[in-house]
This record gives sequence, structure tokens and C-alpha cells, in this order.
Amino acid sequence: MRTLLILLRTEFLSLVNSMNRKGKTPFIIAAVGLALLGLFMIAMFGIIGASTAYTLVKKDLPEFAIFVSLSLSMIIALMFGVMNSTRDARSSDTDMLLSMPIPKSSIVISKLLGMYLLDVLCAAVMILPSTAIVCLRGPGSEALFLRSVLIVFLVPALPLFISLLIGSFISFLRKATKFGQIAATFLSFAVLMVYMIVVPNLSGYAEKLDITPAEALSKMKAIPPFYWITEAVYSGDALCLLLTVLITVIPMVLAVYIHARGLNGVDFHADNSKKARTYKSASPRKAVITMEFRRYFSSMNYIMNTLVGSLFLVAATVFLLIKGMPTISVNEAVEMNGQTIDIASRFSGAAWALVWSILIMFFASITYTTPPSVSLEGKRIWLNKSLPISTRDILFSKLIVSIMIFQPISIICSIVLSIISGCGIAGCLLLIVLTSLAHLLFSMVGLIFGLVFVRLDWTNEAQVIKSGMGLVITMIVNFFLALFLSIGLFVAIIIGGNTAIFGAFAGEIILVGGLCAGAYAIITHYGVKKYESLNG
Amino acid sequence: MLKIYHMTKTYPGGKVGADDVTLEVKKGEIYGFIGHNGAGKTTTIKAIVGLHDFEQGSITIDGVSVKDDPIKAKSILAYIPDNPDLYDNLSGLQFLNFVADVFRVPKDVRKERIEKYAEDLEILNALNNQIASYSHGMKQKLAIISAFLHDPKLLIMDEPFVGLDPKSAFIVKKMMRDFCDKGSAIFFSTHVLEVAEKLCDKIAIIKNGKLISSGTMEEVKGDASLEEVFLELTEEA
Repeated sequence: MRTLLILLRTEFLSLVNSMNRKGKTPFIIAAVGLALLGLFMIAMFGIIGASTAYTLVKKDLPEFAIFVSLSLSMIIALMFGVMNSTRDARSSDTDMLLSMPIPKSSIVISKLLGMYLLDVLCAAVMILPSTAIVCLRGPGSEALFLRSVLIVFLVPALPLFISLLIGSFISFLRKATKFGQIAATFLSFAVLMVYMIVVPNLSGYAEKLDITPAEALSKMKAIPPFYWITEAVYSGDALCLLLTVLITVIPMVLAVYIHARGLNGVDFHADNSKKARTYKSASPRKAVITMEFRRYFSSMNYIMNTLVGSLFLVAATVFLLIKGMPTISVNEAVEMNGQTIDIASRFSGAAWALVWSILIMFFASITYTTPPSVSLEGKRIWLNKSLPISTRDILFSKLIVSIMIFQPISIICSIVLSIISGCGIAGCLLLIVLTSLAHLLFSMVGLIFGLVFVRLDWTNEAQVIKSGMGLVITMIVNFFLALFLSIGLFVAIIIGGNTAIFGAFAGEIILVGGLCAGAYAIITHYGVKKYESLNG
Repeated sequence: MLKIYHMTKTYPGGKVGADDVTLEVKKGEIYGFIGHNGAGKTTTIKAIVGLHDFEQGSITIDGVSVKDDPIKAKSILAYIPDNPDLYDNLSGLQFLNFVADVFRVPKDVRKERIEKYAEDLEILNALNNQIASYSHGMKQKLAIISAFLHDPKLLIMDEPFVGLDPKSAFIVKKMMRDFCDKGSAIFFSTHVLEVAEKLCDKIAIIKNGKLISSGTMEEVKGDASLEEVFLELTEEA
């Protein structure tokens, strides 16, 4: 226990020092940004959970409301867990820790705690508003709410355990076959698809759900572990409470034990001595870009954290291709200047190009390859800096990776979406130009903040890929940029007519182009100087 | 080949890493750079290869200023750091191909050089393995091969013998001598005074960022051993 506390304190100090290294101002900005993002996430998940629970309680299904919120919190935790489990558990400090008199289980727990706390937070924002609704609007009591608080701390252990198993499976695949990376990507994609389909439509499902309490009970009983947890919260049944503790705590203890047993130092001893040696030549610029790509594709962590936008975009396009275009009903109308405007009539032809622009821009804004790209150079930065490569080429190679990861997918999806919605060639071209420029802008913003909050002394690349300050600030700035641009496009949809549509496109292309030029100037002046001053 | 003229480097916080350092390395010379830990050896080396900026003075390589034309200066030098952190996820050969691409080494030339140096340093069979699987010594050998790969005019080495087995150290010393005999130059730091004494044509001793002695081996040590002179100078200064 003592060693575990020491490890946790060290991890915490490392986190605080990493945020505080640049002085107080960036630290305060980062903390405020982080708090805003946290509040946004809490509000979003909380609203989804509460509105679903409210609908179900109204239909006299309070226990089912708790069941749904529990299930949802586990899906979200599983999604985070799968994405996290693809990372290699070993940090560069693992060898050092293993050589010290520290139990392996303490090392594993210290590395898992961050993930567990994130899952607890998710569970809290999903479950507590639902149980609060059940208490306020349904038959619940204070005791029910207190039990739900206890469950919030227990429930995350289950998805964490499952994601650890998936992580072990992926790591086995990675060692045994060369398709491990692809398998991991598809697995994460599948979980993301479930999340994408289930979560946003949850309130709608609840609204359309037409079942009796008895039918709801039989549905719940079909999944015993979830039913036990629901009963433990809802009725406080002692047996269910005991079963809940058993199914959450025991697998977790087992998982920590198994992981601890398998935790060894870094060991890469594949013998390729008999493989033919290939000598390929390329131009220096191409060599730098190839190196950047190799680094990208060699890190599952990096891929999983940056491919989400592309995966969501493909999923949305495939979904629309299969399901067909959404029908906009006349009920979806807005009041403007005392007049009711029929939104349905506004959604035709080129107007859809505006809708797809909004969609693609949001996915582009979450493709975060550039923020950690400079930090990922780490202690190897001496290499690029001592070679005869211009700093500009090094920084542009990072932008090119970002563009190549998202743009081809974005262009294909833009064409498919334009065809199925009948945007026309002009609409399609404007959609491609605007979203390409917007993605370039988001990538450049990421590169700038990656340089401002650069961190070269990481011990595990996840520290910069998943939680680097540059990444957090980029997430916030890009989100608000995408929101700001979307508002302009949405206003054009409301106004309607080709003049408004093409005017909005033209205006935003000029605006984003101008912002890109500004970001380019910052990178080529401040960025180059900053990179040259870095010392691993 | 290498001219450092009144170079001063101060770190944020005021610590002086290199204080008015002036020295010259001529073609064909092996120039040793010795000093205590933290004396300013690595600071000076990093300023030469463009890893650090410096506030005062100038550094030129074959007449090219590292401040005014860093790309040209870097294209004629090679650098081996004291602790070569390389791209762990690449194979040794992929890394060497990358360096060869950057320096525009033709395909047949790179093949010949890589196989020759890798054979000499006994890592030819490991070239297809991931760098992550290499020992410190193997990484050092890979960094040495990458430095010799493009036949630079100036080679900068920071503690090049750390981690090398005796046979490899011997081979590297021979490579260094042959390299300089062809008209190139080497500037390297070391803590191993015996190596410096046997290998170097000239030597400089640095303490607290200042050069306290420099010149040919005879000028610096006279009839005494380098160890005696080094200890005497670094305690006096």
C-alpha cells in the first residue's frame, strides 16, 4: 500500500509538473480550458441521461430508466477502455520500477487509476442525474440515491476489466500476427459505431418505446449482471448488492493480478537476420515525410486518438448510404421575426452541402495528429535538428500527415454525401474546398499549440497523445472554431436560397483561407523559432 | 574545418554553459575535448551542430556559418550524441536509409557503405531488427554508421566510446584515424584520457564553460601524462 501511494504521488506530481512547467499563465488557460471541456462533457452526458430517465419515468418505467443509464455508462466506459487498451502498458519507466522493491500489482494499479477515475466521472454524470430523476419524479428515495453513488464507484470496474481483456487480446494479436493493428482498429471502430448509433438516439428510443413494466423487467432479466446492478440500486436487494460487488470487484482484482504477472521489461527480440536487406532511396523531403508516417503508423495510441474523426465520418456516410437521407418533417420549423419558417423546404439541393460542411468540419476538428507531433520527437529531437533538413520542412511534414490521414477520406465522403443528397457539382466542390481548408486550419492550430505546450521529457507517449496540454487546448479552440463556422452555415440554411447558400460558402472560404494564411505565418515565424529552440 | 570564435552560451536562469570559447580544428586533425561532468563539453558540441543557439561569437564549418546557413553547415557534418535516442519503431536499416535519403547518398553507395561498416562493427545481421531491441552499444554502433554514411567533412562525437565493446572501440578508433587521414576532421569529447592521449592530434580542456588549455598534445601535456596535467589544471583553475 505504501509503495502504491508513493507511485500515485509520483504520477500526480509528474502530471502537475507537466502542466505547470511553462509558468502560470498557460497553466491557468489550460486549467480553465480543461474545466470548460469537462463541464461541457458533463452537461452533454448528464442531459442525455436525465432526459432519457425523465421519458421512461413518465412511462412508469423507473427501474428501466436506471437500467438504461447503467448500460449507457458502461458502453461509454467500454469505448474509452477499448481505445485505452490498445496502448502498450509499458512506459519507459517500467524497467526502472520493476527493478525497485515495488509489487507489480502496485505498478499496474498506478497506471490504471487514471482510467478508472475517468470512468467513475462518466458513470457519475450518466447515473446520478437518472437516479435523481427517479427520486424526484418517481418512486425513488434518498436511500436509492445513496446506493447509486456507491454503484458509481463499482460499475466502472466491469468495463475496465473487459477492456483489459480486449487489450490483452490485441497485444497477443500484435505479437502473433501482423494484423494486430488492423484488428485493434476495427474493434475500436465497432465500439464507436455502437456508441454513435445508441447514445445520440437514446432519448428518441425512450420516447418511442412502448412496453409494459413487466416486459421491461423481462428485458432487464435477459442480461443478468446488468439486472443485478439495477436491482441493487433500485430495490437495495442484499443478494443483488452482493452479486454486484462480486461481479465488479473480483474480475478487477483478477485482471490486476494477471496483468501484474505478465508485466515484464521491454522485450523485442524478433530475429530478422535472414530477411533480405532493402535499400530504397528518396528525396530528403520525402524521407522526412515517410519518417513522420512511419512514426504515426507505429503507434496504436497515436492512431486510435487521431482516427476518431475519420472513423466517425466514414460511419456517418455508410449509415446514410444504407439508411437513406433523413426525412425532415414539417414539424421541424422555427420562428423568425414572428413568422414560422418551414425547415423542410429549406433542405434541398445545395443546402445539403452546408449540412455536410458542418458535419465534416466537426469530424475534422477532432482529428488531432498535429498537437502531439512535436512532443512525440521526445529525446530524439537531436536527430532532426542535427540533420540538414529545414525546420519548415519538418513542421510541414507533420501537417502533411494530418492532411493525408483525413483529406482523402473527407473528399470521398463529401462526394458520396453530395451524390445521395443531390447537392450538385458546385455544391460538392464548395463542400470539398471549405472542409479541406477548415481541416488545414484545425491542423495548423494543433501544430501551433503543440509547439506552445511542447513536452519532450515524457516517459510514455500516451502522456502527450492523450493528455498533453497542447491537445487539450487544441480540442477546445477547434471545437469553438467549428461551432463558429457552423453557425454561419446554419443561418444560411434558415435564410434559404442559392444566394444565401453560395454567399455563405464564399464568405467562409475567404474567412477560413485568411485564418489559414495567419496560422501559416505564425508557424513559419514563431513555430520555426520555437522548434529551433527546443532541446531534448 | 571548424572554427569556434568567442562563442558564449548562457542558459535561461543565467548559468553559463560555454564562456568565450575559441578553438580551431584543421583538416586531417582529431581534436579531443575533455573536462569534468557539466564543464561545458556537450553545450559546446550542441552549439556546433545547431542543437543550441548561442548569444555571442561565431562557429563556422569549412567556412559556412552555423548561424547564417545552418542547413549547408549540417550537410557537411555528422553528429553522434552521447546517448543516441533513435527511432525505436524502425529497423536499423530503415533508420540508415532515412539518414542516407536526407544526405542524398546514392543507392549503390549507401548499400556498399552500410554493409561494410555494419560488417566491421558486427551488426549486419541485426539491421533488419527493430532498434527497440538493440542494446546501448548497438545503438551507438548504428549512430556511428549513420555518421560515416555520407562521408562528412567534419565529425562531431560526444563520448563515442561509451557502451562499445573493446573490439568495436578499436575498430571505431581505426575508422576515425582513416577518416582523418583522408582529409576530414573529428572533434570529440571524452572522459577516457588514455584514449584522448593516444588518438588525438590536438586537445582542449574545458572547466566551468571556459577553455583552460588547448593546443597540440605536446603543448598541453609536455613530458607529463595527460591525466596529471588534466587533474592539475582543473584543480588550479
